[in-house]
This record gives sequence, C-alpha cells and structure tokens, in this order.
Amino acid sequence: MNNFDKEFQSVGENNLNEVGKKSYRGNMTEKEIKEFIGFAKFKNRLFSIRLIKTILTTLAFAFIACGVVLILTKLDVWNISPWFSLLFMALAGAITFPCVFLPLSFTDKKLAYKLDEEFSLKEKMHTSLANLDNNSPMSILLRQDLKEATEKIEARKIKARGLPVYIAVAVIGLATLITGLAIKQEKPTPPPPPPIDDAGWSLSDEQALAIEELILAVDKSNMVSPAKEELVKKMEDLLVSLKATDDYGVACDLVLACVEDMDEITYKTGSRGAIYEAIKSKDTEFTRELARMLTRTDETRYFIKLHDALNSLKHENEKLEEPTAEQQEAMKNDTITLLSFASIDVISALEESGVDSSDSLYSLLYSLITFNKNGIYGVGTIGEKLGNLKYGWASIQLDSLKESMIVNNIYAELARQNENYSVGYGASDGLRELFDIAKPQREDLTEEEKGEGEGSGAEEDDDQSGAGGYGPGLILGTDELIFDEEHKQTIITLEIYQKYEEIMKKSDFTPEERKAIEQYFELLLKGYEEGEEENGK
Amino acid sequence: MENKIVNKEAEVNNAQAQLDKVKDFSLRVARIKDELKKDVVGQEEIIDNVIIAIVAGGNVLLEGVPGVGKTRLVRSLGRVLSLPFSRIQFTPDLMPSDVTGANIVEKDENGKLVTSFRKGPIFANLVLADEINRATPKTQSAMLEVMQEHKVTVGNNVHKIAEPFFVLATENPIEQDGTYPLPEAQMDRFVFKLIVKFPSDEDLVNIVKMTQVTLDETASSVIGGEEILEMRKLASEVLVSDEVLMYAIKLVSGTHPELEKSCPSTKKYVKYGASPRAGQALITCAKVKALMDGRFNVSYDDINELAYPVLRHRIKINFTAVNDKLGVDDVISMIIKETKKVH
Repeated sequence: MNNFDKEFQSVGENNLNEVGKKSYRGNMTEKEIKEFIGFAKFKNRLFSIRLIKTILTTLAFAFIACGVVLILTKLDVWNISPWFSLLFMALAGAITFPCVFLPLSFTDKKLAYKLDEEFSLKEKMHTSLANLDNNSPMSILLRQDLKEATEKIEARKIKARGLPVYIAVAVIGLATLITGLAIKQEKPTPPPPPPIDDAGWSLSDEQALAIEELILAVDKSNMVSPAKEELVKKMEDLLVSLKATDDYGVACDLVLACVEDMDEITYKTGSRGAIYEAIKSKDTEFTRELARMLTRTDETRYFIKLHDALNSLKHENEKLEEPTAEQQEAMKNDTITLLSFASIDVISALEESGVDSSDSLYSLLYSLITFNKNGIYGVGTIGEKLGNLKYGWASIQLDSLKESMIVNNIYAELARQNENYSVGYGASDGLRELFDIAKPQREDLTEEEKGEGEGSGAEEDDDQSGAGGYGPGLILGTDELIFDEEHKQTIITLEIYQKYEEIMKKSDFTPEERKAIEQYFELLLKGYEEGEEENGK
Repeated sequence: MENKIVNKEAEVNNAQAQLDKVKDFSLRVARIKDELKKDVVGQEEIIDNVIIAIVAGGNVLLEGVPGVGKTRLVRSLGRVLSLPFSRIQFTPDLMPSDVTGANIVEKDENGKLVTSFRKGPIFANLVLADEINRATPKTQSAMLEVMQEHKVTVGNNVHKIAEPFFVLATENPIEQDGTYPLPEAQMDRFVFKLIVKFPSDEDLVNIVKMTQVTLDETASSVIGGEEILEMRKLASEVLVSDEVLMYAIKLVSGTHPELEKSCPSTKKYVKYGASPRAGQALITCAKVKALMDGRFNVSYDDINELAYPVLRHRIKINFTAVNDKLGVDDVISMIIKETKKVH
C-alpha cells in the first residue's frame, strides 16, 4: 500500500465525512475551513510571536529612552527633572509599537508559504488556501489530507525566528534602565573651601586690635595682682609672637599655649573653685546648700535648712507639757547631733580642699560654721541654748548670724574672686574665639559672671528666687541681699538694680552723668571689699 | 427549495463517486507496478515515470545501453495494459509506410480493383519504437503526426488512432554509426526522455536468476484503456496553485538563453531552450505524480523532480557545457537552483 492508499484509506472507508459534506455543499465558511485545515492555530501562534516581539522591542526602546534620560539628568548633562524620563519612556513606547508591529504583519499567503516550508507540507497549505471557494472533490480531499497533517503538528513548533535578538535588545534596554535608576544624582558640589595657606598666614589688623582690646580690658579691670600683670604680660608676648609668625598652625599653637597658661593663672586667683569642689563632694543636704551659696551667693537655703531642722525639734519639744530630765537630755543630744551634722561635713570639706587656712574665703566660711567671734564651737553654743529649750533664742542667733558681717564678707570675697575669674577666663575665651579654638568645660562657677546681659536665673533654684546677675563684673544674684554701706543694713539687690535700670533707661543722662552713676555702683561694690577688709582687721 | 436540496444531495453523491475513483487510482497504479516488477528488476524510477507518462498520455523515449531492459519494460507494459500492442523495429531501410501503413490496390468482392488502406503497426494503443534512431529522418518524421495528434494521414484520408495511444521508443546512446539523431520536433513530442541506467549488482543478480527460468514476460493484464483514460481525467483535477504553475513556467522559460529573464547558467551553457510543450508536460505529469504520491495538489518538488525527464531532451547544451564536462542534467540542476520559487 503506497502513501496514497494510506492517506486515502480513511476517506475511502468513511466516505465523505460531515465536514466534507458540509464543505461540498458550500455551507462551510472560509473561517471554518481555515480552522478545519489547522491554519487558524498557526496564525494565532504567529500573531502571538509577533506581539511578543513587538512588546519586547517596545519595552527595550522605552527602557532605553527612560534609562538614557535618567542617566543624562542624573549626570547633569541634561538639566531636567528625572521624572521626565517617564514621559520619554511613554513616547518611545508609543512610537516603537506601531513601527514594529506593522512591519511584522503577515498575510495568509505568506503564512501559508511559511508553514509549507517549515513543516514540509508540499504546498498543501497555500494550495488549499488558494482554493477556499473550490468545493471540488479534490479540494475537499486536500483539506482532509491537510487537516490530518496539521493535527500532528503543534502550533508551538513554529519557530520564533530572531526572538533571542529581541530578548537581547530587551535585556539591553532593561540594563540601561537599571543603570539609569542606579546612578545617584550628583548634588551640586559646594565650591571647595579656600585652602588654608598656613605658610602665607599673617595676623590681621582686626585680630591684633582685638587682642590689644583684651589686654586693655584686663589691665583696666580690678583683677587681683599679680595675676592681672601676668595675664597682660602673657597676652603682650602672644601678640608679639603672632605678629612675628606667618604660619597659621604655629599661631594657633601659640594661642593655645597662652590661653592654657592664662586659665591656670586665673584659677589661682581665688580659692572658691577648690572649696566648692570639696564641699560639693560631701553631698549632704547641708553641704549641697552651702555649695549653692558659693555658686549663687545664696545663703538662704542653708539657713532655711537649719531653721527647719531646729523648728522640727522645737515642735517636738512643745508637745511635751512638762518634759522630764531624760527627755530634755535626749532632745539636747538630738539637737547637737543635728547641728554637728550640719557643720562637721563642711569643716571636713574645708580641710580637704587643700586651700590654705589663711585664705579669706576659707577663714570666712570656717567662721560662719564655728561662730568665730567667741571661738566657741558653733554647734555647742546653739546646742546649749537649745538644751535650755530656748529655741526662740537660737533662731534669733541664726538670723543675726545670717545678717552678720561674716556673711557679707563672704559675699564680698566671692564677688572679688568671681571678678578675677570673669576677667581672666573672659580674656582667654576671647583669644580662643579669635582663633576658633573650642572653649574648655569649666565648673559653672561663673554662671552669673557673663558680663553684660541678664542672667538666666538659678537653674537649680528650687524656689525660683534667683533671677540672675547684671552688668560688667557684677556677680550678685538680683534677688540676693546686699549690704548697704550707707545705712549699714542688707537690702535686696534686685530692688537696687531695678531702680538702676529704670533710671538708666528712662533718663536722658549726659555722658558725664551716666559715668557718675556707674561710678556710684562701682563704689557700692567697692564698699563690700572695704567691709571685708575691716572684718579682716 | 426542495429541488435545490435534492440537487445538493445529488452533488454530494457525485462527489462520493469521484472519491471512489480517486481511491481506485492508487489501486490501479499499485497493480501496474506489481505486474511490471514481475518482468523488470529494479528501475523503480523508470517504472514510475513510465506510468506517469502513460496516465498523462505522453510518449516516452527510453535511452540506455543495450541489455538494460528497455524493450522488455515496454513489452511487459503492453501485456499489463491489456491494450493492442505493436512493435516497430526501426532500421535504416524502414519506410514511413512501413510504420503508418499504405494504400494498396486489391480486388473487391466483385473482382474489381479498388484501393484500400492497410494499417501499419502504428495503429495500436501501445507502440514500441525500438531503436528509433536507426531509422532515417524520413521515416522518423512519419511518426510526428501520430505522436502528437494521434492520427495518420495517408493520401487524402485521415485515420484516427484509438485512445489511449502511446509511443514508447528506445535508443542506444553509444552506437552512433548508422544512426540518425532524432530531429528536435520529434524529440519535443516525447513527454519524457528516461535514461535507463545500468542495474546495480543486486538487481543484476536478480535479473540473471529471473532469466534462468524463462526469457518470456510473465506479467498479466490488469488494466484496460478505459481505466487509463479515467485515471488521466482524474489526474487532471489535481489542484495546482498559481504559484506552482508560475514556477513551472519560469523553469521552462528559464531554459531560453535568448530571454533576459533566463538563468545565468542557461545563458552560459544552453544553446536553445525547451518548447511550451515542456510546460504542459511538467504540469500534466506533476499532477499524476502528486496523485501517485497520495497528494491532491502539485508541489514544487514534483516540478523539480520531473524537470529532468521533461527538459533533458528539449534543451540543447552548447560547447561550453561540453567543454566544462557538464551534462544536460547538470545544467538542469543549475537552472532549478537559480529559479526562485514564486511566493
């Protein structure tokens, strides 16, 4: 049996099948015939390939457009927003799609030739397509034959020629896009700072003038000698050295060495720092209050503490109508213990501070604690009174102590020391600022020594009573007591300075008058110092 | 409306009848082949082409060295076809009347002298023109009319030849002495020129074995003239697309060196090209070949395969080709390669 027999057997045995009959009657549409002979499935397949190729190319060009625009914008070659890349991507896609899709179109004839060649159909497909309207037996047999042939061929066997090239192009496009996205936009770089030409540096006139002003300020200040002279000498030597050098690094080194020396000299002008450190280190309720007194010249809290402690004992005592001897002895011991507790740590701190006992502040604080006038241990004196249940007397003693010259002299000594600190540290900090050298962290002893301007108030002041200081060199808190030399009594500093400020603001003083007023306040400050000296005598 | 439906159904029935004929076609071809193989060993391609030519209604020129079975094939075919068969042994002294027949004077029943036509051996359905190139051109020319028009004109009388009619001629390509090459006009009347090659060793063994038994042909008749005519009609219905048809025409016209569109090889190696009969022969025979191969349409391959037997005796190669040691078939191969398919 030859090929023909084999091919024809089914037709011969089954005669005309339903499709054949339908076809022969002319009832079969062209579309049905194309589906019948398997042409439609190949056409769909080829259309899919065409669509895939078009999509790949469209994506590739869209990605490339987007990526290139991104790269150009991010590299500042093209100064537009990177978001414009989306617009270009859409444009490229819109242009590419029809440009690729239309040329890839195919006619039924072309596809038929392609199928005939690719699957060796011996021109069956294109002959059959050319005879769609021919319903002769031979044409029907050809369709039947073709149907059997195409049924054995899967549509996916149509090779998508050139597809790897399209994929490669799409990958290139994707790579371009990723590159465009990955590139970081270069921010406009600020112009590089002008190089510091160390070798070509020289002290400017402004810097020299500023240093001279600092020297003059120290020289004119009330700073204690010989620290003042040493500071002046140091700064004058520095000025000479700076003028002689043309190297900025060397100049900074000179300034740094100078300010460190100046800080050391300044530190040695007073004992306040060392004493403060020592007292603060004890960290009891009484030492804390006394340390506050040193930093803010606020004795109130210390005495309030004492008052409160004594009153507490007094009230306990008053509850007893007729205390027995034992009860009285117990209360006496309690009181002594309390006062010892309030004094012993302070005395111990003074002794541990390393400050010489002849130091003014040292001796004044020591006297404060020990009632130095009669040389009796303070605790004992007050305790005796308390032992006789004379609390009222004890309170009066405390008040008189608070208002005594001892306290006032302490204030004067602190003011004097603070002025030294203010002048010395102010000069060294001024030098630092001139050469951009960072200021050192110091213990806040000079919080109210900020020169002119208002103080921020006592940050640690629980009752918010401290309002800060005022004026150059003035160191006192504005709510503190100040000794009025003329009336020999303490008054509230704030009142004086408020009046002083009002007068200075409202009045149209001549320069002479203004100077006179300022001198008055300077004299007022001087009165403290004189009072202190008298005390010393 | 009812009549229309009835007509449609009648058409379906007709189609069914034709489809039955298509089925018979292959069966008949198979039978012819089977019978021929009883007498002819090997030569499958020759047999196929001879059958194609017979179904297509064409004459065949068989060329081959002596003893390769040319005459035996034709004799066997005469037996298989169950058709009147005659053999003409062409010799130099053969006269045209020896082929076509002649008017003779004879007495009738009343004793009067009358002229009557005595048919020559050409009056058969299948004629074997053995060693046709040995006859003179005069005698050869006597074959022209009958081969093309299937009729014989003697005097004023035209004598038609019964259909189907075929001439199967043989010639020997090596013995050139005493031979007369066929004129181009006659060559053109052969649809195929088939080269009968020397059999392979295996075939030769079978040939020797077979002839040890008997030298006579043993094939029996399996098909008649009517059936052959039916097959020819059926083959004519095989579909040929315009593109394939155009390709066949291009192939034929491509053999003409005088035409601008001819192939480069043609211009170089061909003296003159094939006649339009070549195009007709190509398409007609391609249809038969397609049907024999179980197809219902003609393909490019059919045309290409048949181009050799159809064109090889219709084109003349020039001295350049001979000088380049190229045969006709080589040139045809070049022309096929250079002729683009029509898409």
